Amino acid sequence: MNNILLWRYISFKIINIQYTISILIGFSIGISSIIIVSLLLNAYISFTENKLLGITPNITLDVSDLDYQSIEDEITEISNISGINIVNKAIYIQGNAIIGGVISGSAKNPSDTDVFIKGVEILSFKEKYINKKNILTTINYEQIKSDYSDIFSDNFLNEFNNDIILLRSKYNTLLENKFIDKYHLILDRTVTQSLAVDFEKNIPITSNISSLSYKINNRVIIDRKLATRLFYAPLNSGDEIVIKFNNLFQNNKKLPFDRNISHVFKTAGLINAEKENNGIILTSISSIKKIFPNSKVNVIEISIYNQYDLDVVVNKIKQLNYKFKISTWKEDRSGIFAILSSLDLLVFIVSVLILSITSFSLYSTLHITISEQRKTICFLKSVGVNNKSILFWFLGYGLFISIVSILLSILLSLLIINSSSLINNDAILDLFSHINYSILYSKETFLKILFIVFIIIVSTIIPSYKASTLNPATALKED
Amino acid sequence: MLKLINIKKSYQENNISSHKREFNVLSGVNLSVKKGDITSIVGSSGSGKSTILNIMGLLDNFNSGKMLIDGNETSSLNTSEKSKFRNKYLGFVFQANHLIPELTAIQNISIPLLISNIPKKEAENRAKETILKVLNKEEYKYSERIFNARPSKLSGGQCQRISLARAIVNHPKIILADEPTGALDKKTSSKVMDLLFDLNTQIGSALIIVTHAMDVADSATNKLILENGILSERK
Repeated sequence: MNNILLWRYISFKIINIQYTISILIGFSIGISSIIIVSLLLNAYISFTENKLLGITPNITLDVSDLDYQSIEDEITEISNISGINIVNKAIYIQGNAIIGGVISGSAKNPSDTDVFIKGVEILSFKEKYINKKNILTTINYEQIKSDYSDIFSDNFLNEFNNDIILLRSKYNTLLENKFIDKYHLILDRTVTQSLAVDFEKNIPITSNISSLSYKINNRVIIDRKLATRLFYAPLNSGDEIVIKFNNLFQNNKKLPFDRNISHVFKTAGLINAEKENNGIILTSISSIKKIFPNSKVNVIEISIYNQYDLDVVVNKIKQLNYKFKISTWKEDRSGIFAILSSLDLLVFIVSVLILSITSFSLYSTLHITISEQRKTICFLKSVGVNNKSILFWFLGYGLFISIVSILLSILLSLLIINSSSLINNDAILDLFSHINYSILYSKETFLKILFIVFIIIVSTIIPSYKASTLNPATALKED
Repeated sequence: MLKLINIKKSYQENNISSHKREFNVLSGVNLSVKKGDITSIVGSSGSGKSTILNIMGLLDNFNSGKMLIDGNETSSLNTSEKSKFRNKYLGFVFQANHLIPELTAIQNISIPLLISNIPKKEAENRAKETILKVLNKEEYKYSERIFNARPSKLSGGQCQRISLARAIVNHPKIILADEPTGALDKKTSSKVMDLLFDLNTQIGSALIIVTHAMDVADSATNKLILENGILSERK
C-alpha cells in the first residue's frame, strides 16, 4: 500500500512524460492500424464473398435433357436451400437473346446486343425482411413509406399496390428499390449495404420469409450501364423494350421466314450490377419459364442459407438419383477463396510486425527511463523501497501504457473509420460500408487484446527486472 | 546499536591471464557503535571504506562474520526485510546529495516517511519541520520558497542540508555518511558537519562517517582507520 502511495507521489515525476506520450501515441497508432486493417480485411472478405456468392450460385446442376420442372420441385423440398434459379445458359452462350428495340421511352437508336437473361424471384411485400446477421425484426412499413415518399408517388410503384419493390434473387441477394433522381435504381444488396444498414439501424424489421408468391411477369431489371450502352440514354422505369429470341429455341420449331420470337418487357428498374454481372437482364422466374421451353433449360442454380451446409445439401441432391453434374462454388472459385483465406495470414504477419515495432519502442523507452533514473531508483532502494515494488512499478507502467493505448487505439480507429465519408471514392466507401463492427466484441478480438497486453508486459518485464536488481552500492558511488 | 564481528569481504578479480584471483577488501572487521556515538573511518582510496559503509547500510553483503543492528542479526534477513530495516533503522548521507531533481525539497524529504506508511499530509508536515532544523537564520525568512524549491534552484550547501534532513526525518538509529562534505567547499563543509553533529545529538542516533577529510574525521568521538582490511583506532 505504501509503495502504491509512493509511486503515485513520484511516478509522474520520474517517468518521462514526453517518452510516455510518444510511446502511447506510437502504440495507439500501431494497435489502431491493426484494428483498421482487421476490420477492413474482414469487410473486404465479406464484400468479395458477397460479390462472388451474391449472384453466383452456390450449387449448379447441369440438367440438360432432363425434366427440370420435376427436379426443381424435388430440390425445393430440401430445407437448407434458400433459392433456386432456372437458367438457360444457351442464350448467353449462343447469343440468342437480343435486346432489339425500345417501344417507349427516351432511348433512340437501340442496338442489337447479346445478353444473358436470368430468372429470379421477384418479391413485393409490406412485411419484408432483411436477414443480415440472422437478425429478424419487424419492419415499420409506415416509416419506410414516409422516408421514401417519392417512391410511393411514382406510377410504377402504384402498379404494385404501393408496395416497396424488392427483388430477391435465389442467391441470397436482396435487391432493393431506391430512388435516385427520377429513375428506379434497384440495387444489389451487396451494393446497397449502407441502405440495408440504415434499415437495420432505424427500422425494426420482422420477417415473413414465406410470402414469396407475388409474381411480376414481363418486367425486367437491367444494369444501368448496359441500358446506357444499348440505348445511348438511360431507360426510364416503365419503358418497354423488346427482347428477341432465336426461333431455334422455340421447341425446335422453325418459324416461317426465319423470324425471331420477340417478347416485350417493361422496365421495372435499373440495377447497378457491377462489372461481373452487368451483362445480365433479370426477370421473373414465371416469365423465363414461359420463354424457355423445358428442353432448353440446361442449368439449375441453387443458393443455400448457410455455406457450412453446402456438403449436406450436395449429398441430399445426389440422393435424388438424377443424372446431372453437380458443381459447387467451392470448386468453381476455390482459387479466389484460397487467396481470401491467405489474407488472414497476411494480416497476422503485418500485425506481428507492427506489434514488434511498438514493443521494441516500449522496451527502449523503458530502458532509457531506467538508465536516466538509475540513481533515483537506487536511492529509493537505499531508503527502503524493495525490489518487488520497483518491479511492479515498472510493470504497472507497462500495463498503464497497454490499457491506455488500447483504449486510445479503439477511439482512433473508430474516428478514422467514421471519417471515411470524407474520402471521395465510391469503391472505398462501399468497402467501409461492409465493416462489421461486431467483430470488435468477438472472442477473437478479446484474444488479440490479451496477446497485445502480453507482448507489452513481456517488453516491460526485462527492463523492469533490470531496474529492480540495480545495485545501489555501486550506482550511488558513481559520481 | 551496531556491532560488526569479524566481517570479511572479498571480490573475485580477473587478472591478465584470465585467472580468477581473490581480492580481500575486509579481512576481519570488528566494530561496536553505541547510541550517540560519532565514529569516523578514514583510509586510503580503495581501502574498503565505502564497502564497509555499504555493508553497514545493508546495501552489500559480506562473506563471513556477523552484523547486529539493534540486536538483530542481519545475515538472516531477506531482501525485502533488509529494505524495511533500512527504512526503519538507517539514514544515508551521500557525497552527492542524490536528491530527486524532479521533486521539491518537501517531496524529497517525505519519501522515507511515505515508505513507512505515513500519510502524505503528515509526511509533508514532518518534512517541513525537519527542513526548518537545517535552515540558517537567513533562510528562515524564505523557508516557504525552499520548501517548494527543486534541487536545481538550491545551492550545493542547501542541497546537502536538505539531504541531511532527509536522512534524519524518519529518526533513524544509525546515520551513515559517505564523504558527506566531499562536494563542498571548506566553509560550507564545516557548517554542514556542525549541523550533522547537532542533528545527531538532537535525535540521539549513532553517526558513522566515512571520509578523506581529516578535519571532519578529527571531530568524531571514535576515530578509526581502515588499513589492509582491518579497522583500528587512529592515533
